[in-house]
Amino acid sequence: MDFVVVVLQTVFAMSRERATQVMLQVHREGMGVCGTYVREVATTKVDQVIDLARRHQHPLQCTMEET
Amino acid sequence: MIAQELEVSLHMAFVEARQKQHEFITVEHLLLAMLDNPSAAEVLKSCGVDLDELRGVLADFISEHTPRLSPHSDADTQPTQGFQRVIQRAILHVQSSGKKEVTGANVLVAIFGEKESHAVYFLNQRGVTRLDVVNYISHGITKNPQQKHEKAEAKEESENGERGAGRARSLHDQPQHDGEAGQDRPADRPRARARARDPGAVPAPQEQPAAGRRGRRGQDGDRRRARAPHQRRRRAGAPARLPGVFARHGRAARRNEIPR
Repeated sequence: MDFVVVVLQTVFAMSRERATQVMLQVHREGMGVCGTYVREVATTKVDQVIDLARRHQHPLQCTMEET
Repeated sequence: MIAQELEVSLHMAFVEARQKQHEFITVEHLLLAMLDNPSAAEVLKSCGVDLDELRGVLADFISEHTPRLSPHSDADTQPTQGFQRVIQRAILHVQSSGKKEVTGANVLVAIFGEKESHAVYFLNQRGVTRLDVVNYISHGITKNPQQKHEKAEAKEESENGERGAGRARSLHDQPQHDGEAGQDRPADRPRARARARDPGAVPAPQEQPAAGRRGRRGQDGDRRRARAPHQRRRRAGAPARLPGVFARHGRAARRNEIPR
């Protein structure tokens, strides 16, 4: 849980409060919105999250959807 | 590996993105940098792009859609995956085509490989396709009539400089009946058309009978005078006119028929 908050803060530049809200939404509903970006930026961010999760041995998923 | 001019452009792009605290350096940043790169700017100008207008559009897009780094974070501006792919594509292409240096023009072509990129969208919006860019780089074929590539100029010189006429003409691949060209009588049209398709296959009117007639001319002068006036006129005009006709229908004309 702490790791998810840290990721949301570092990669998606959220405040601690906002990050905690999103983390709890992900925790309860299985999914939450990190942000809306241009495709190119979004793919890079998804890659950053997955890379970070892998390095810290957490099974966190991050995907991109078209809006 | 990477040409000096491109190195400078890339460096400037990074410096600018960092100075504006952009979290990422994107393909749009790259295209913006290419507008100030000599070789890429030359290609874009030849495709009829208004560089200053495109620069404004790109700057607006970038400032609106690029996330900023927070002032107290120690993270650095980093290239997006798309940016890295473009550079990699340009380098791989240059390596595989046996050239030594990657130029801004190569990067410009590589940008077109990005699917669903705003940079490509902005270029297409201004009527620039990958084919236009590649055509200019490899053949000097330009969309902008004022500017000519040195390759095109060299070709033109060898083709009698009739390029402008060739372009207008190639629309209907038939002799235009104005002034001296009008002296190509209807009976000669099939021959002129055949010449247009394959110069050299069908001899030009004045080449074909020349050898025989020169001999006859002396003894047979009265026969020449007996011709109808319009026929005589054509013969008189022919030698001066023909080289031009060849250039208009030959390679120069066909080169301009590439659809754009």
